Amino acid sequence: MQRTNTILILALFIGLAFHGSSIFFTLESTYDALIHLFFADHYAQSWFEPWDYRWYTGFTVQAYPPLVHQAIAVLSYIGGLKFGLFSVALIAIFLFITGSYRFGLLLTGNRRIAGYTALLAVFSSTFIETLHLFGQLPSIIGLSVLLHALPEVYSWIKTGRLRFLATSLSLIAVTVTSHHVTPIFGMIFFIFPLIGMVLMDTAKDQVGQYKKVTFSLFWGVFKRLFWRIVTFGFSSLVLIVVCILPYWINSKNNPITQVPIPHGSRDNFFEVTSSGLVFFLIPWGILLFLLPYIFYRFFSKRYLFFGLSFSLLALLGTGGTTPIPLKLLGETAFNILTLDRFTLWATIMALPIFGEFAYRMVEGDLKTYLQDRFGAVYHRVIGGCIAGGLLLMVIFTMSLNYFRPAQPQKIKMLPIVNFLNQDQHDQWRYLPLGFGDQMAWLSAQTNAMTVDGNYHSARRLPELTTRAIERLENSKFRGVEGIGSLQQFLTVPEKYHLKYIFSNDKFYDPILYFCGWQRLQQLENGIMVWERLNVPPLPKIIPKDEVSQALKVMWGIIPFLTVLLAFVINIQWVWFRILKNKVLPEGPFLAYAIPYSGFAPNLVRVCHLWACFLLIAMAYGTYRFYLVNTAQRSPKNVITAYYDALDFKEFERAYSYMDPNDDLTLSQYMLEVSVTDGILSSYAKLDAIAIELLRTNEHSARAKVETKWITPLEKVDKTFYHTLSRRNGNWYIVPQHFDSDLPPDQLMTNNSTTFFNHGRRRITTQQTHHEDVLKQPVLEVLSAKLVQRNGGYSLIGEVQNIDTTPADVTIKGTLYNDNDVPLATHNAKYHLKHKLMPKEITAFRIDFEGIAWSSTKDTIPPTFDPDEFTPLSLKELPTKFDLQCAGNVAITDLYKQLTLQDLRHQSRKITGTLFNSGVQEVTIPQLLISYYNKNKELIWVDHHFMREGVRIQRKQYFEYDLCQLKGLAILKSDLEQCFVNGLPNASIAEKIFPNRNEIHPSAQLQPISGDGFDFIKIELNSYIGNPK
Amino acid sequence: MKRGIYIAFLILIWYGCAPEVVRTSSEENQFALVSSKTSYVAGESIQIQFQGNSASPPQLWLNSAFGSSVLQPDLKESLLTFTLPKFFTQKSGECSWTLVHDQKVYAEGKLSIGPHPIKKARIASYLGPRSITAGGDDFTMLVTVPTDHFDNPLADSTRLTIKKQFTSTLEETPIRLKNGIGWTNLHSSQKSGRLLISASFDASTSKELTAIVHPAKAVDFNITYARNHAYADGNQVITFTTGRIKDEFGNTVSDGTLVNFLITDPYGMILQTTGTTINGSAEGKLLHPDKPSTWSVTAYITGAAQSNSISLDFEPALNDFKVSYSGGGRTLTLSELHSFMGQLVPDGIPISLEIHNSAGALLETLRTTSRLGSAQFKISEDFYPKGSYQLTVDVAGIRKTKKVTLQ
Repeated sequence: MQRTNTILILALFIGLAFHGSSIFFTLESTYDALIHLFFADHYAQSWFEPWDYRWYTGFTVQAYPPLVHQAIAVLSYIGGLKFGLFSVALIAIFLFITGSYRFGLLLTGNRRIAGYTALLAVFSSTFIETLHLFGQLPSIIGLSVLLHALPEVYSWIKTGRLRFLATSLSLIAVTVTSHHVTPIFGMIFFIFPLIGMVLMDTAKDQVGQYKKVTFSLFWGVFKRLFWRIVTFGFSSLVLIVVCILPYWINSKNNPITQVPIPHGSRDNFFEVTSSGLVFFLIPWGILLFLLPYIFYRFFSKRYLFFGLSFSLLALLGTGGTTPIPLKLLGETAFNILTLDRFTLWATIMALPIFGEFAYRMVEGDLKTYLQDRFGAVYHRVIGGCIAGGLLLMVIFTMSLNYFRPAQPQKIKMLPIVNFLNQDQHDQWRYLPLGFGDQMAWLSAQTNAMTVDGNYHSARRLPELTTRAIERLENSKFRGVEGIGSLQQFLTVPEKYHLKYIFSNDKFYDPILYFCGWQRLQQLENGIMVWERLNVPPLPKIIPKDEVSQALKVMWGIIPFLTVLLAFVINIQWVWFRILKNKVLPEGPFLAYAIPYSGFAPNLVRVCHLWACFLLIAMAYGTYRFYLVNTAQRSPKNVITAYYDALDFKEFERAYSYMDPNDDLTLSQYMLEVSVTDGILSSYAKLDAIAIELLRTNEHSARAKVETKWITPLEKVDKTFYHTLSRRNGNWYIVPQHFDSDLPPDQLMTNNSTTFFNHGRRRITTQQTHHEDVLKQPVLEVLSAKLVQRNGGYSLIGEVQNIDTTPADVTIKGTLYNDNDVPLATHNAKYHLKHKLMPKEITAFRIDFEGIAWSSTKDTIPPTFDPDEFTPLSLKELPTKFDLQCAGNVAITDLYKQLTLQDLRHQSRKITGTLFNSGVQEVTIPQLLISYYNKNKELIWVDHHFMREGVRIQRKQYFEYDLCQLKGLAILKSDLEQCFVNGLPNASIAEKIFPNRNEIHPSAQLQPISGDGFDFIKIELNSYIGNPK
Repeated sequence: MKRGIYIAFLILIWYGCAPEVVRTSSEENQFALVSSKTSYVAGESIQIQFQGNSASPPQLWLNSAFGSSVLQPDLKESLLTFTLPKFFTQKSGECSWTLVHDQKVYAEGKLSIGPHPIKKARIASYLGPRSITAGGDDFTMLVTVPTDHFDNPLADSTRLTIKKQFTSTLEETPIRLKNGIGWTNLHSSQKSGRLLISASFDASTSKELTAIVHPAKAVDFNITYARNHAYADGNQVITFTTGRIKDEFGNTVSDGTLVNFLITDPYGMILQTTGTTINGSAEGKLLHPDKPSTWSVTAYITGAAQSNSISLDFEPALNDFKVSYSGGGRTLTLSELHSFMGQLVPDGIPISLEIHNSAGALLETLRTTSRLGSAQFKISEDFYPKGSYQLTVDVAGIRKTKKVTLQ
């Protein structure tokens, strides 16, 4: 009779209690769990239809093995999606612990050690990280089932009994349908060494001792068992191909031809220490101290192949730290695979050895040796240290998300879901910004579609696949490149039917404003809804990629069929095992348990040396960390810390670095900092900082600080100078004093016209009543030109709102060649005031941007250009153009009370002051500068964002470098092909605004001449961050 | 071979069991139209009767704007009566019928169904654009489609009355339907305001439709300015105000019209401020200059109208100040910055310090602002090594230059 393994029961009990209760607090904020939830929602809605319209303008769910998603979907019918998710997670935990037990038993042949393995698996930091931090359920389930399959594979090759072939193949099939990468690499890294071990065991059977196994004997055994191995290998291959055949077909039809997305696991862990922590230190955890033992055991003759596999896995897991993984995997595989999975497999593979170590330490020969050699106390101390280290890693890993949240705060989705369902808002696409992986949860709750998505392998639009960005939603974390990709969607939203943006991050506000978006409302959950006018709704029929009926049926049926089959084949034995009503044959691997008698003293020495080395390395690392991060130890440190504090808006901390001898008080400092607004202080992310000490002595220093900031609009470089002083051994920054200007009036009044548009006056589910549709304001194009400058083509011109209502302006330009073939189309982006009051004029410029790096073969610049712009490469010369202008009634963002004063022209630049005469604080003022030739004809339009805002009744000084326009060519100047609201410009203008006075515009030009121009005109555009 | 026998057997059974084809001679059948009425009103019941006999009853094939249908007759002795269903009788227009028996046409005819004249009509009406410009050139178009109770368009030449209310006048204009549609262009008046429009036919009326007549292009206007004093202290707001801006018909321009105030300073640079009209008047504000100046101001509604030009002077607010050097010439202190009444200048007067090298080339302009009537510059050793420099301080247009040897 087999005895119940109490340690296994204990492991299961603790594992389910510990992980089972904590998943409710961790799983939803992991990277992947909500993505799987979204896929599950897809299956719950349409099991057999692989096409999902909701992400990436449509994508196929056949891009990911379906088992886990389908399991969640089935369970969701009982208790909702989240019930399904947590149930599947519980199953995963159960499978992993039992799988580790069986793997331990297979490797060591000792039930007690297998029990230890299972217990250690519960607390292994790699498992905790994969489940609670990454949420990789399919990966865990795939791996666990693979672990369950290993003993069956061993038994098949060893005994040749067909029932083992059936059980092993059935389990392999489940692995395949739950995760595609696991079985492929599992074959290489787990099954191959396993086969080696079987051969070794069989050879040992013949000679009695592993030592006597020679290569020729081994070869002989291999030839004898060859057909079993081939049968298994070939059958598994068939399973891998057939079980997820639609996946392979889809991969072939839509190969991943995208720019690789940077992943921390490919970093050099010494350079990017955060990646080193997450992808190396945490998964290895306490195992790092036992590496000599693990290698020693793995390179014993029986485990030799496991040893090779383990070494390779460990090596590949080091990512970009050494160049070896790149060379081994090749460029493509290196950039597609996330290398952390190799570390995961290595640490899981080491678990049985760790279990063996624990066994020997707790009750085996190591205990005896240590007690004899160093005494009982030492043994207890060492044991305590290892146990303590293990616990420390568990707590550290579990709490990582608490201290460094990977996701934004949990967002209440209901208001957004309600908004999308109201008033036909789901007839357009939407885009969440700053949602993190919670965007998947939003998508799962609505049928509305987004251009973004969260499974980047399925991206289809070239605007996305050519950029190394995971999602548009978090584009700010991808620097200017991410913002560049986002811009393409924001500038031409009508191409994607994108009308609504849910912004959870104020950072994106300026880019939305300057791309012509307007705030619609703030939802109850604090999410700001932005809207773009002039976007047509989605057509009723949207294209999709069709796959054959047979593949759809396969995809819908096979995964669950594999589970059912595996159940039927394996369950019988499981019951026998649990109920113990029948004596089962022992696994053949149980015969190879070794007696643990006598721990090698040299190994103990090596282990001690290694541990000492690690401890010294850790101590040194901590010391380095202290040197670099102790804020006031050196002038450079205090400046870095000061800018870090400013970047994270921790003003109190920033103040603590100010010279205490200065009479600046905290409240004064806070007041001065809090009143500065503008793109740098409110919307910038510090990208790089370089500190140069100009002069330094014992007590003071002077530093030049060059900073690079990423803002939503452009990259900003700014140099600051600081004086530092040393007091009581600490360095401080001597504060600089702020502008002492006082505004003229304490209380001021201001009258202005405000507008309101009801939208639908009649509440109806039908189309908007035609009486409730406002007439589009009429615009007039005053000039339009096709110009060539620095190799790029642009359309420039001027537009006036000649109607009596404020207008939101969209201008779309198309270039044609001589044969009237359209070459390129784009909209005006920053070079346009998007909102015009009646009779207001704006200059505009349309740059023809190509989709950046549209062929992936293009070399991607290693550092990104400040103004992310890819000039369009045109095959033919554009000679003609047309302009389509659309006006829509605007009711917001109509602030026009910024004035221009004190203008001066100094050789190549102009300086001046902006004065804010109104009652709204202008966060980002923009200057639109148009250049004219001596005949007062427009030749170029440029823009300039000011870095500081202009507060009410205050001045802001500006400096602008004039463009050099020598070499600029005007290719065509034409108003013929300009259309306003679909009507010809000339006739509509003649009707609404007859007898135009042509002298007015030229009387308003500044007589400033320069390189290629004789006059300029300055227009002002104000972005108000917090409208009052 | 065996299969061939089976097939032959099956074919035999198929044809063996087929019903016998009965052939009758069609020449025997005669049908004569009994009902002679061909013109009806929508909603009236319609029956088409034939006298005739045949072994099996004929069918009537109907075709109208509604669609097509096949009717079976009621047979009473030799009288065949076809009753047209309601959906045919309620649809106005031509309805053709064909009597068919045994794939042969025996008679054909047409009925004309007119719209119902008495039952209450409904008027669908559309007006656009909803806003037009005053002056009489611009117009909005009213399109009406009056229909009878059964939604049939009324007959051509039916007379409709269009009513238009504007300010205190009420106008009625008759129009006649053509092709079921009645339309008219309603030209704007010279006055701006709200135009209410309706259409009526007998007792039936449309809903109320609205078009707004907006003011036309603005005409030239006047501007004035207001300020607290005439001193260039850089700390007062001057306001430019337009008179009530009107169009050529005397309508006040619509609220929100943008007025550009352009101020030319003595350097020929153009300063700008903008205002939007409320009740025809717009205001633009600027800060007083911080040095004496003469401004010439003109306002524009670009392309439409411009104002008179006005000229104004700013007198110096500050007459003199003191500069003292200390710290080896590296600290400049400006003091006794007094304004026009002898008071300290308001905080925030911009002060600039131009640093020239001994050869006279401009190295840098440092800027600061005054506080409590004084200000200070520190010339850093980091950028300006020891040597001789020419320093020029500029406050409110007063410049003071000194050659200094920095220590």
